[in-house]
Amino acid sequence: MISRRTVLCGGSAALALTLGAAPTAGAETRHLVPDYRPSQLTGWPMTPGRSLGMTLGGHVPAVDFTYNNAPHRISMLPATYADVPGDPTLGFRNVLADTFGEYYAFRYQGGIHGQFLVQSYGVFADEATETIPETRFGGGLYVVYRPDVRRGDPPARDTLGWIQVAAVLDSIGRPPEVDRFGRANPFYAFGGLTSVNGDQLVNFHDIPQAGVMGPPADAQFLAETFLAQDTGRRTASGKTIIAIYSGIRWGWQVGAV
Amino acid sequence: MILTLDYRPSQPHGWLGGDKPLGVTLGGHTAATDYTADDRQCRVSLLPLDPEYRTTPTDEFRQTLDTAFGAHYAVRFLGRPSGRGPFSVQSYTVSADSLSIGADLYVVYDTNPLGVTRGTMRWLQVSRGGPIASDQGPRVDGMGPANPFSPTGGSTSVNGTRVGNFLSVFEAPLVPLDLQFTAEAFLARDTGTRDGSGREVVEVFCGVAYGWEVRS
Repeated sequence: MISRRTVLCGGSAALALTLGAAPTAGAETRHLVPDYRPSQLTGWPMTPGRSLGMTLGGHVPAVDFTYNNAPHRISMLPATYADVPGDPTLGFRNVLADTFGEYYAFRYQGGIHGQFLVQSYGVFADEATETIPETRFGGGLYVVYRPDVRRGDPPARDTLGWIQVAAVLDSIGRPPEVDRFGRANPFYAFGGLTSVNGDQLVNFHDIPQAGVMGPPADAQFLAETFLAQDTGRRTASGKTIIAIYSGIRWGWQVGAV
Repeated sequence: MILTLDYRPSQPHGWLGGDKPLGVTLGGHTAATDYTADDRQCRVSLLPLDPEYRTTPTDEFRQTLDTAFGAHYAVRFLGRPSGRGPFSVQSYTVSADSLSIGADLYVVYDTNPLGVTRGTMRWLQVSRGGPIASDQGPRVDGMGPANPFSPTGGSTSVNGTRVGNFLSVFEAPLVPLDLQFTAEAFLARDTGTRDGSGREVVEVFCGVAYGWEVRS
């Protein structure tokens, strides 16, 4: 039973694992800032499984677990800041244009001056029990946007959101797609302007997760998630212009050790 | 602001919601439909027949909201239909097919109906629902414990066009049921300002009352 994004695990060889993956590297620390907090409310709806209404909390780079009587490990991929989308596996620009190019035109702004505060980045694994025969695992990212409005970053408002292109790499293969849950726009459903106990903020939360019973657990989840704004302006051909700022490349992988 | 009945065919609504069909309204206005499940005749029907316009919520709405979110949100009921343009009800209907039953309400209005320049337009809903024999009392249908706002109401984008709308969806498998759902949903503005005690101020304007029931 899969709670949000189905990850069917195929039978290919186990993936190499990355340990200690942290969402910072070099100059990226200016914009992608570790700010780990305990599990907290996100301001988005509660969902089945590990809820998108609540973060996993902290920074858990890897977890070992037993599945099919064999040792397995799930680990976060290094999260990296990006001014523009660039992962060749995901092909963010093409996927986005192919999916929404009829109604929207995308303008890449090439970065922000402010920060993405990473308040949760980690994995979980729940081994099967007598009462719950399914083994569940996944990994989550929770980010709060802190703009530098004086230098031109878009302020927090309800036209600001996130666009995520994601793929599941396993023996079956799930091609990259815009993570839109069937919406009539490209914006990710669990991100943007919300309110948490009376405090307005722009955030992003995702916990792609899976449940397996029997088939090999061997897969990688990969995503590029970019801050974006519906500008309210249109091109000469009538398309709504969406400005795309900077983003985060992130994901997790699971396999037999 | 008034309410107009302007039922339209199934259309995209811009929100996460509705698994069948995904991302679109049921469309139209079917007041009741019958189905058979486990050899029992059942009926899913609207309650009331058309949604009813409201300028002020019931005491139950106010109290339920205050009990659940009063610690962090100061809700002010303006009790007036301020602004331009009507609520256009474009889907209020029930459905039943070989696998499931459903119902929805879809309301569209001017993106910025109040002409406000600050704050964020949201919707607040308080409902009662569930098996008829065990009413569990009113509840806020919001985004969980962090805030009271509906996850399917406010400003969104539908195929490139910015719209203000509100969506409520019911879905259930095709089994015999006896349940009733009634709700009040109000347009509101999260002002982004705070009252003297530090709570975020939310202004509530006009709304609709609607619902549905299933009888076997």
